[in-house]
Order: sequence, then C-alpha cells, then structure tokens
Amino acid sequence: MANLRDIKRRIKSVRNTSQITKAMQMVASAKMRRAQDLALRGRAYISALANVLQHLSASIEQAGTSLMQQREYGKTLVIVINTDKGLCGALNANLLRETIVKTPQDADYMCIGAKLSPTLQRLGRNVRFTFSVSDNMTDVELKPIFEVIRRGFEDGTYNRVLVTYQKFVNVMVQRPNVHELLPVTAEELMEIASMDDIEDSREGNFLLEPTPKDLLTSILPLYVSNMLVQLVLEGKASEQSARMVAMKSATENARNLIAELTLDYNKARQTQITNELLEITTATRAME
Amino acid sequence: MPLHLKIITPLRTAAEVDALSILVPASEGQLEVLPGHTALITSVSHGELTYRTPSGTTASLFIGGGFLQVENDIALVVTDTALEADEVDPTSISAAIEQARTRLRNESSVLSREDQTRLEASIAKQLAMLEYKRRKRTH
Repeated sequence: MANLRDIKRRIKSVRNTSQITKAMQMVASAKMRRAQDLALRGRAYISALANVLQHLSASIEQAGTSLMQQREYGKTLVIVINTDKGLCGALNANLLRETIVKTPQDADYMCIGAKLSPTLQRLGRNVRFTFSVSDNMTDVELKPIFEVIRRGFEDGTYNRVLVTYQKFVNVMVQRPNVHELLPVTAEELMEIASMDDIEDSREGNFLLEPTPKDLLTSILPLYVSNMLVQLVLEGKASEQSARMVAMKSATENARNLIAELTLDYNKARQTQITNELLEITTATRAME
Repeated sequence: MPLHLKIITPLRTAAEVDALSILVPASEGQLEVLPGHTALITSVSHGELTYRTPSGTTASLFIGGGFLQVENDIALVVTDTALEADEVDPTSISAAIEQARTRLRNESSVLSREDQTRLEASIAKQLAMLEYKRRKRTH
C-alpha cells in the first residue's frame, strides 16, 4: 500500500531532522556555557573601570576629552549587534523591532553580525558597514571596528553612537536593549559602577597620578572599547542561549511528530492486515 | 584594619584578599600602599605586584598595564592580565614573542604606526612576564 510507504518515508525524514537539531542543540549548549561565562565575568571588569572613571569625573571638564563631548551637530551611528547565523528563534526579529523603534530614521548603521544587514537595508536604513566576529571572539578582533567608531566620533561625523544588542538575562530570557556608547555620560558611569559590589564613599578628592589628563586619555578609550567588547559578549551569550532553546523545542516537536506518525503508520498497517484477511476469507468462502 | 585588595581582569577576578601592604609597579615608579593610604588613582605599568598577607607571608602576581584605585583601604586594580607565577607558560610566551618579532621585521611596511607600537608594547610586556617567571623560579 502506497500510504504505508509514504508514512514510513516521512518518519525517516523527520527523524533525520531531529538528529540535526539535537546536534545543534548540543553544540549551542557547549558554546553557550563559555559565552555566558565570558559575559558575566566581563561585567565585573567593566563596572570596575566605570568605578575608577566615575571618581575622575571631577577633572573631566578641565581635561576636555573628546569621547565625552556633547555636540549639537552630527549624525547618529547605530551599531546593531545581531547574529551571523539564523536558527535562534525570535532573537533577531525582536532586536530588529527594537532597533527600528528606538533609533532615528536618518542614522547610519553598522552591523556586527550579518543577519540583519539586508533586512535593515530593505527597510531603507543606511547600512554603512557590516562586520562578522567569530564565536571565540577576542578584543583584538573588535579593535579595528572600535577605531572606525572612534574616528567617526572624534572628527565630528557622528555626535551619538548607539548600540542595540540582546542583553543576556538568563538562558530563557534575552532582552533587546539600546546602549549609548558615545558620548560617555556621568550618569552612565554611575549606573554601571553601581552594578558591582565595590563599596563607594563618593568622597572625591583623589590624588591623581601622573596627571588627570593622562589618566583620562588612557582610561576612557579603554572603557569605551571594553564596553563594546562587553556588549558583543552579551550578544553572543544571548545568541547561543536562544539557539539552544530554539533547537531544544525543535527536537521536541520532531519527537511528537514521530509519535503521531508512528501511530498513523500502525493504524494503516492494521487496516492493511484486516483487509488481507478479509480477502483470504472471502476467497476461501467462494471456493467452498 | 588590613587593606582589601581586589584585582579584576576581563576574564576573572584574579584576587580578592586582605593584605597588610601592597607593592605596585605604578607608572611613576614602584609604589607601596599601606593601610590608611590617601585616596589615589594612578596608572599601573606591567610588572610584579607583591602583597603581604595578614599571616605574614608574601604573595605576588604578574599584572599587565592598568589602573590602581585606593579608597578607604580598598585597593582596586583593574588590569588586562593578572597571572600567578605557575600560570605563566614560558614556551608559549617565547613563541608569541618570536611571532611578534617576525611580524615587525617582515611586515614593517604594511603595518600601521599604531600596530607597530602595539606589537612592541606586547613584546615588552611578554619579556617582563618571562623575567618575572625566571625570578620566581630561582627563589
């Protein structure tokens, strides 16, 4: 019976798919553990940097560093940290929605991750650059990207640099978020520094060596570039978590589908046997 | 009241201990921090950071460049690397130095000025790391 063979073929193909999704789930969960680890550890570092910077804020105005300058003119640069590959549930779709709503129409866009670049272009946004970073990303990989951003900000092309990314909350929850990378503001420093448990007396009057200006010119770029690294790490952790969850539910769906199909298959098989028996008995009756 | 020393790198919190005194390779020269030190922020160059634990022993770490903040007897060191002597692997460091040197020699025309200074800085840092390891072994 053709029907029987059809069902059998479908079971086989569903089973193959489920093996692939299962494998992807395993890979994602291994990568997730690493990415999650890096993202969580990085948070302590960035908030320690913010803590030091915050204490320097009194001398910031005299030093006049360009990375904190508020300007009226210039465009907005939006960095969209999305994924290179799909199959990670609604992660990129949610990020896209957030990006469209929260960023100005006429902004320039830079994509880290290739997935959303064509979509943004189709929506009429001006995508200037698209970068890809590997899963085992190091800060060296982001250095040229940071230099592009920094140059654009310092020569006045951009007066605001926003980053949209998926903040890693936990394995099940990733929240799309917009972070203002540049200019660095005092409120931002305070907020990030308070994430850590370092006690803070806010007395001020620090002895600064060698000079406030020297300190600021080295620590501020370090802070901003590490912030970018941190946001990409968050994005990676979110990506792997979302992919693991998506693949897990895909594997479960496949298993349900196989169960249903097997039931159908057995029913069809029984019908076939009944029919055959019927034919045999009718034939013997006729011969009597 | 002893000092509280906290060393934070991007990869981990390398140390969170109480210390009686801390000797840091600050950018302006060696700097010793004792309890009751005035509030201070200074940049730190790569080198050996030594601290005395409340039990009287001394311990040390190799730290990369970064910053030191002292406030209310809390010393916070923010740095890109912090390694204990047995975490330093001389063979891989020598290989890295060799690789960086070859790049400097062969690609000096294509490398930008920034890349060159970055490579040179990383060589200097790795040499210091080797030196630190050597000193620890002879002790």
